Amino acid sequence: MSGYIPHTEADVRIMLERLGLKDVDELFAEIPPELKIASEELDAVGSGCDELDLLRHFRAAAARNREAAEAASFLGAGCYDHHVPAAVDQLAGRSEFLTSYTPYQAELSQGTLQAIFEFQSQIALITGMEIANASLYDGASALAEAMLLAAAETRRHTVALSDNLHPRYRAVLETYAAVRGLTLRTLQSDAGTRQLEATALAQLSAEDRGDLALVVLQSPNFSGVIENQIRGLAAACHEEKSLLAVSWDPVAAGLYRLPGDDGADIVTGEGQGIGTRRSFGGPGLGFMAARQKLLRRLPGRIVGETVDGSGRRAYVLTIQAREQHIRRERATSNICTNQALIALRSTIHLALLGPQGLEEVARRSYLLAHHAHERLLESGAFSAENQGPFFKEFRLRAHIDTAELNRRLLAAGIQGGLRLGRLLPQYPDDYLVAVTERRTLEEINCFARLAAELAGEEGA
Amino acid sequence: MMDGLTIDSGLRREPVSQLNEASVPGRRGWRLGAAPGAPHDRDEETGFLEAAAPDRGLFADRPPALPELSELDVVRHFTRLSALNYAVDGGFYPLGSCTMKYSPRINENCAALEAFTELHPLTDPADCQGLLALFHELESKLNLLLGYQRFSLQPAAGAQGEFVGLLVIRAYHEDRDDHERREILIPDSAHGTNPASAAAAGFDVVVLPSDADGRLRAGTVRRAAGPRTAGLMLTNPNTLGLFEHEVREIAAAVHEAGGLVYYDGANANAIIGRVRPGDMGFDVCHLNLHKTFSTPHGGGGPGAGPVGVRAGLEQFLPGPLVVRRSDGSFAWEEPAQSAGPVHAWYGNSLVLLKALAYIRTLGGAGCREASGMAVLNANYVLRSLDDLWEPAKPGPVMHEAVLTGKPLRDRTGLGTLDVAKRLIDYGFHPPTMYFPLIVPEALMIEPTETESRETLDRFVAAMRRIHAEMLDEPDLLRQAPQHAAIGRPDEARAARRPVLTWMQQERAEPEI
Repeated sequence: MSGYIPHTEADVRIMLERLGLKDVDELFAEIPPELKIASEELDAVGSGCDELDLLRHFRAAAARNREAAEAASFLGAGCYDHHVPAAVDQLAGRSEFLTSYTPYQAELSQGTLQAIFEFQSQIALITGMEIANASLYDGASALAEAMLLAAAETRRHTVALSDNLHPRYRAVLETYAAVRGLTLRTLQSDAGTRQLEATALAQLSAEDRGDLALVVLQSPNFSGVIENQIRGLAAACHEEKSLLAVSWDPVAAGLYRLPGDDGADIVTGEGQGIGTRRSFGGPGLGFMAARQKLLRRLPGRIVGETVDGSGRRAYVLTIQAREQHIRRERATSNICTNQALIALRSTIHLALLGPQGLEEVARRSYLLAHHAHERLLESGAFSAENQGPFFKEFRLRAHIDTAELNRRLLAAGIQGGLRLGRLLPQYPDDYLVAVTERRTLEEINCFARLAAELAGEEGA
Repeated sequence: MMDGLTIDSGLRREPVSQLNEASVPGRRGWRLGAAPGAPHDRDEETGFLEAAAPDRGLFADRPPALPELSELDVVRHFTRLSALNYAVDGGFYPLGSCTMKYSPRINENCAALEAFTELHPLTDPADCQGLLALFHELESKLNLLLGYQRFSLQPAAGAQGEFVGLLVIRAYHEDRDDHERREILIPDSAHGTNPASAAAAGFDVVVLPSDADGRLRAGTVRRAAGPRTAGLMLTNPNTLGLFEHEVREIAAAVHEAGGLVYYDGANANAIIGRVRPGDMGFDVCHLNLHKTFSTPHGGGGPGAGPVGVRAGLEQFLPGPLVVRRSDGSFAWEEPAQSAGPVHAWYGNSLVLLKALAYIRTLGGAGCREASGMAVLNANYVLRSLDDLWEPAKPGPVMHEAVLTGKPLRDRTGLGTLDVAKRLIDYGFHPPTMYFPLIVPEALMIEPTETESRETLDRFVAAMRRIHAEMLDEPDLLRQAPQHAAIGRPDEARAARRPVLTWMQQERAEPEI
């Protein structure tokens, strides 16, 4: 049915003749007959369809998500509704990028290789670090790789996580830690500000401190709060001969001090917010930047600049002695290929925004988020959950039924915030609201008005 | 020329300056105007500082020193870069083990619908039933095609799929209080990811030798398997393109020793619609949707590496999984004894949709036809070259043909690398080189089913021409490529003095 196979009957006959065979099934003679499946067994997979049917099927499914997808979204929690400039789609959609593969043959892949080199440069710039790799799967697994890197570098087995780390990131770290014999500890933040204090390491036993490979925090953290003690925490980590990793929102680089400038050893994060739509969570983009001294322990692909035989500038995959195809079971990671096309999207996105565009996006998000925070507190439906400084997302304590609020909001074309209990059952009343530059005052006012109405009805 | 060959890689040859070199202070590309009616934006500077007063100490003095470019600068830059790339859409790309088949455009359109791209992963399941239904449909079709009980769609790539599959094996043994099983058996022909993934999942690797014919023998497995064996990883057909016909005996040997058997789905394009890993005795498998099911490779991702398991292992998969409830609606469900998630959300959702679009288009019979033509193409290329290049192992192959350049190297001093680079001058992407490791001077050719006989004939003609050049004009190979974007790069220099960002360029200049 599909036009993807070019063989005519004549082609097949000529080719089989060359092989001295009568039919295609003979090509599978090596397979024991009792293992082969009959073609009828495949009927349940479907009978095939044309483009018209296919589009009809996908459009019908799409219609059932449309309300949520079209709503003005205040849902964040690690996946954000930032604008993607039109040129990103147009350029990243070019088939020379889309349908090539890992740049094993440098002479045929300079486009991808140079773009990755530029990506590594931009990631180093927006994290304040010296080097970066070519990307990883997503923000959560990038942080897990940082944990494995630190354990290998320090030859220690204890990793301390901020209690304000994204719960799904924590769950991924737990998956990796369990099979690698690493012990995870939790550091408690200040309850009033939801920030980790510089003295937090004192919460660990002397034994844990002696075996401490890494301290992990996120900024802005899962409560939306900017961590303000990175410098002090980095110094405390270094005193214990351990490393500090920060999971970082690249959009925050438009406004805030960079974690690398404050002494972090590894900065990872999710790059979805710079150039890629929410896409039901994937594909996103993990990134990892680090200090130069950690170069030979980095996971994944790395691109370096060199020259060709006639002295022309050229780019290649480099430091490959770390990787699985050379080192096999002694590789720094099993990762081979990653999210190159999404990294390309981010490269184009940051090239378009430049320093000023990135600052504008960060400022607008900051302003609208702070405005929304004020309006929602005024609505009487919420009180502040913490006093910490936030960027574009904030955590409230609800005095209303937020499930009902979200239903009413959706009917008005708005996707409400996250009812935190979905991810953290111990906080059934907490509510996380994200505001990007795409939101408008009207949307914020409507959100606040519906919250106030509900608060009035419920007598909150 | 009679055989239709031309000397041209088809690529642009002028270098493209780096983004930072084109930067001009003050130049703007995309910009954000004033927010309509925002009180803080009426006087953006004052309003902003006023709102931000308590946080000012956290702010940077200025944003990072990213390049400053106009929108047209950026559009030209990346358009020019794209012209330095060879891609499936531009020409034949027989990169073995990577299944570089055509990526149908309609699949891109299906996945690009706004109701998918603008959907937040934490959307209430009641409000994204359409997408959950598509996930469920994909899983059902994978179960049928591969012979499994359940698939987790979460792993973002093949290597992450391998990791997850090994976590399932580990969880299975731990659930049985069988804590001594620390070893994973892996044949010497395996992809490098197999041992790397086993190590990443905390296992010790035991390498099993292939026999002289390039296959793994059940006797070898039986001797190696024991109370420390957690499992065996096998790809079938293997990396030599050969079907492991003792696969059931191999699986039985591992099962008798108490281990599980893992199917590396990297080569599944050879067998879809013909034989199912679930029927061959594999307990766990991963697939590379970007290979078998045509999603574009993107210059190296994003892919997708779903993991399937037989009945009795589904409780160990990463969660959440989509379930269909009795009222026909779909919901998320966490497996009872999950080995834990590996992704913040559900994996590469849009890639999953593209693979579903492909499977729906082909249907069961179309999938079977695809594997048939993939195997036909590989054997056709092999037969058309085997008088000049020695096949790595005797016998018909499945979806890919592995040749050895060892005799030619001994005779001419020219190796597989030289052949590969000369292919570039003829406008072809070279096959995979020097893999599998057990074949000296390996050249691994995977044509895929979407290439026509004419394309294969042109490739064969180029190979035969190169063979003649090896004997008559060896310098053409030594100096190749001469018609690509660059000549052979100095890889040693790149590793010796790493320049990984444009900020590091000056530091590295002094050499030479």
